Amino acid sequence: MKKYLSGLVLLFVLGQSAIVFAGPADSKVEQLGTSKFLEIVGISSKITDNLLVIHLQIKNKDNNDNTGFYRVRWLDESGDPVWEDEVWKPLLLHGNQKISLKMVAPTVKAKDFRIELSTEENYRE
Amino acid sequence: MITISNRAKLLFLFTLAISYGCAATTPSVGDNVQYGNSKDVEQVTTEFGSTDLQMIAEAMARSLAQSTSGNKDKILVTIADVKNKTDEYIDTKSITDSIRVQLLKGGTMRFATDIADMESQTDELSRQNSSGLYKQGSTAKRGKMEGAQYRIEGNIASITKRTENIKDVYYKFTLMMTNIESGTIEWSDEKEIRKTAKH
Repeated sequence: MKKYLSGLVLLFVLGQSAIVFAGPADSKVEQLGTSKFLEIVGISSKITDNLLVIHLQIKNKDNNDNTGFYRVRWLDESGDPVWEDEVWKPLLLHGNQKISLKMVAPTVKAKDFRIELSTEENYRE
Repeated sequence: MITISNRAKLLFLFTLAISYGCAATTPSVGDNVQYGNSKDVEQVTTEFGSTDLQMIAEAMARSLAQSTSGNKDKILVTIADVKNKTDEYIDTKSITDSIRVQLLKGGTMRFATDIADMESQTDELSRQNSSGLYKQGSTAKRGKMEGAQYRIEGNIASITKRTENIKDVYYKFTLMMTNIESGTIEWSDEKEIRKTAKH
């Protein structure tokens, strides 16, 4: 009976949200140049109530404050954009700070994403 | 026979032709004004700016969409005023317009005519039904307008601190959605922005 109930709970949870991506950030991040100090250390996404939700963790590897800019490109299954360009959003991280960001898709058509990141201390290769 | 001076003249004319040719391929007039990207972060002054408007609209629209995305049917809402409690001029209608555009494009909500547009809506209904100018059966009927189930309203406030060298501005934009029938607040969220300028 207990097993049956926990199975029902699991089914309910999976019904509400489905994990879409949890893995290395490289494939989902497009950096404008190479960031010296700001690094995306964790990235995951899941579909909750039909909307894609991204959880992002960024770390400042420097002892000083550093500023960056980010935005998301929302894509469909085939990689085509489903939303216009978002506004770039400024980001301030204090020395050695790690922050978490949550981003919600603007439309249920979004099934995939790319995160664009630009930092003031970037140097281009 | 082409002499050296003639060659020089030809070279000059050739260079001139190429220069004009290159210029003609750019579909612009004059070079005193530069167009920028409307999505770039504006950091000109600490006053409320385009990036603030865009970030607020995006954050509020996404939060609202998420709050109702699990619903079976799209709810019908109307937008009331966003009060400006700051000491600067802010076109709050422009913020709510952007929120509505994003929610309509995202397909998560439906919007009823708001108070600001009600006069033109009723004028058009009256014109179609009372002027006698329109073919019968082709006019929009009276008494068919849908009443919104929810009302969205809010306010924007700010705190400004100044010293000789620093100006710090903190903005707080609060939005809430009220069930019109029951009067209960069903959703609320806020977006904070801090801007600091050093002189």
